[in-house]
Amino acid sequence: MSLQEDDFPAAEKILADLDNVFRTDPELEDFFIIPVSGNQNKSPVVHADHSLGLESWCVQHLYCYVYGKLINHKTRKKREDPKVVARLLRGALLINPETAAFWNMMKQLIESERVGPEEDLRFSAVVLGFKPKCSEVFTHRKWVLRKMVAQADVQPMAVLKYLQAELRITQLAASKYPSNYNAWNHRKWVLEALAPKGGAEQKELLKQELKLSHCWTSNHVSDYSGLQYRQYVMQTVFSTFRHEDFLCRTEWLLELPSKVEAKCCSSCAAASVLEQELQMLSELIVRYEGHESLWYHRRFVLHSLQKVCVSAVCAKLGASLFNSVVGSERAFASSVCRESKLAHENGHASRHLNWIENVLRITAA
Amino acid sequence: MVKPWWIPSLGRKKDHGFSAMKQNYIQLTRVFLDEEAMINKKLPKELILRIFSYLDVVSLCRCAQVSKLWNELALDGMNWQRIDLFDFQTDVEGIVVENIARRCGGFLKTLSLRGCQSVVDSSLRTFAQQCNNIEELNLNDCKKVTDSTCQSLSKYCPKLQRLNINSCSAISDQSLKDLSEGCHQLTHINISWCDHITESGVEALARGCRKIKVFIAKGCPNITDRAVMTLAHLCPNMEVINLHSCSSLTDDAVQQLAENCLNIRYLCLSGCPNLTDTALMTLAQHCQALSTLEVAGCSQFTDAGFQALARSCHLMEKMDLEECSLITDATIIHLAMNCARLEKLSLSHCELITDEGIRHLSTSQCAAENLTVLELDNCPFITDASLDHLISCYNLQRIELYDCQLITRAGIRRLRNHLPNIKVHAYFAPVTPPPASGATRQRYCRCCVIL
Repeated sequence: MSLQEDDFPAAEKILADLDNVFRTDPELEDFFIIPVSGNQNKSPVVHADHSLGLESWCVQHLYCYVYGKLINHKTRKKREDPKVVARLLRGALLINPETAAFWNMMKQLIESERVGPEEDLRFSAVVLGFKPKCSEVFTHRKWVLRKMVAQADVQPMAVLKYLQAELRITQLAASKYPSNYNAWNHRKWVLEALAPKGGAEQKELLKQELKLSHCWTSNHVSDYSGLQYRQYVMQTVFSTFRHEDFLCRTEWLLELPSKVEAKCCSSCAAASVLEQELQMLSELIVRYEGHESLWYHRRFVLHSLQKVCVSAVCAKLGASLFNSVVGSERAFASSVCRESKLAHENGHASRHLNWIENVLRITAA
Repeated sequence: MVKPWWIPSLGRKKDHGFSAMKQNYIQLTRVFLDEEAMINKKLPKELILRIFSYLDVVSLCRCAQVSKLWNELALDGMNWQRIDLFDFQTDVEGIVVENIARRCGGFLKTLSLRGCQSVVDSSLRTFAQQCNNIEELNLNDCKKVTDSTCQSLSKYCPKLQRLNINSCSAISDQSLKDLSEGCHQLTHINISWCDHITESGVEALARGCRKIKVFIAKGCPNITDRAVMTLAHLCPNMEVINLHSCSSLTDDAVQQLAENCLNIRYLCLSGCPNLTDTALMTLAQHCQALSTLEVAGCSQFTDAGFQALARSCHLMEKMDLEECSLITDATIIHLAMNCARLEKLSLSHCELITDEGIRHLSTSQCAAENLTVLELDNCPFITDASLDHLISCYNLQRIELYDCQLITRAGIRRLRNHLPNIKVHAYFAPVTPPPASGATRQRYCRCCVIL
């Protein structure tokens, strides 16, 4: 509609400026909308320090403009050239990344090879800098990565590079938004889809992930999604214990004393890892009072330990070890109950005791 | 007000049941048999054909579905002389092109497959075999087209006059050699962004197609001075030549071009940074017919070159001097004095321009009647004073002022007061219009009308 083009003639110039920044700065990381009150006759696009900024005065007008044009193109009222569509899409998705329809149009452009997949990955990483919890961005990244990995001539080095990039990006996104479920879930998918299967590389990767999630948990004690990721990593590690013959299982352990000899067999190794986990959690619970997430993680650890002990063939494990662990659990929980000054921390501890009595013991029997 | 018969009158009872509906239906079908339809009674077939000849593809296909008579007339070959399939793009695959070729046969003169990325050589071969009278073919952005298509065109379409293979990146010199052998009537050729094309292809084309008037080759960095010189010698009728981003060109090429092609009216040398004032002076010497000159990015040009150009090319209408950052107000003064027909002038990024130059422009001969577009973006010394000078340019339609930091909203408002139809492009946010005052249109539903 001709009216629309006259409403905001600067739109095309602003979109060109945005594209220019993407083209000239391959290490662009972040995008912000800068709140300003008035506006000068100056470009609203600001680029400094690998960050892109857009002044707030133009956001509404720009979005109305690109939205109108894209919808007209999509409904075939007025077709545009693919380069123009790509530019409009980038503008629209920077401002409002939650529009699945626009991400789908981008996918169509990638399919018809108008937009390179690597270029698109760089773009969506910048969008994540702006909205780190946007699930549409993660879904789109999964689609692009799947497509890139499925190509016939893909190098293993390239896949590794994508893997590292995804790990870095998910960590950034997780640090920008508390308890970022989408980011951690994406990380889990990356481990499943892009990681090397078996062999020394997988071991290295899992070790690195375990260590990283240990650091993360110590720094972000209330990040439920982070803890869930740690649980996933631990389960993957245990399944590798079963399949492989690790000579030195003590590599997996933290620097804490353990009741169980790790070298004995896979179940023992698992058990000792879990035991150490309990110790770490105890430390954290005492240091940072009032975090429910740590107590729930404790339940997971106890549950896993129970499974290991029950199904173990090794003589050293078994009911006696498990009972002693449960005993010390009760002691710990009661001590927290007594000593904690926070009311809800008492609540957590007493609920934990209840749980031990009513749920854990029953499943053991 | 006389109500058309098909809107039921309000007094009718609501539940007539099936028989009344059937009566309505019969009434409808009775009127619209071919021979009884008013349009077919009143207009002879030739006139209906003539009306159809103005329609586009979609409307023609819809008309073809109306009735048997219209089907025959709409699909008559006469209506399918010009076809543009841009709006269908990815939906157009080989089979569509082949069907069109068979349906239209020798009638088809103009076909545009711009944007139809799925079209392949084999379909175009069928097309070339069937439509031997094709005169204008647009294959812009048909990425799968290769040299084989041009070979087919050369073999089967001797009447081809205009060919556009913009962005068909698989095209190489072989295509141009084939075209030079088979399509001697070529007058308009566009090979932009076919970066495999080199001087040997261009030279072959020039040798075979002496009638070339329009040569557009944007973004072909392998086109060298020698190619342009051969083209200039062999095709002296050249009127339009576009060498945007053919970055290796030097003054020698321009000199040969100027000396041989005296009829040049449109010349684009944007993005050829090696050119100097010498090129402008040779153009001034020989090409007085020049009316459009685009030299964006030719940053070595100075006032001297433009002074020479302005003094002899009085027919100049459009000039793009973006990024010719050495020029000063002197250039504008020369243009104002000599080029009375100037309509579009772009001075983007010409950082030395001041209000004084604009003042001269606004009092020149071209200002009152002809000047329609003026681009002053990124000229930091331009202030509201320039806008006040431009009030006298009654036909000014668009002015670009991006990044001119000394321009204020007040200045723009004053300009708009004097020139109400002008489009001022700046970074100022548009003002949202106030909500419409006055009585809003009353809307009520039909039952309320009854009541």
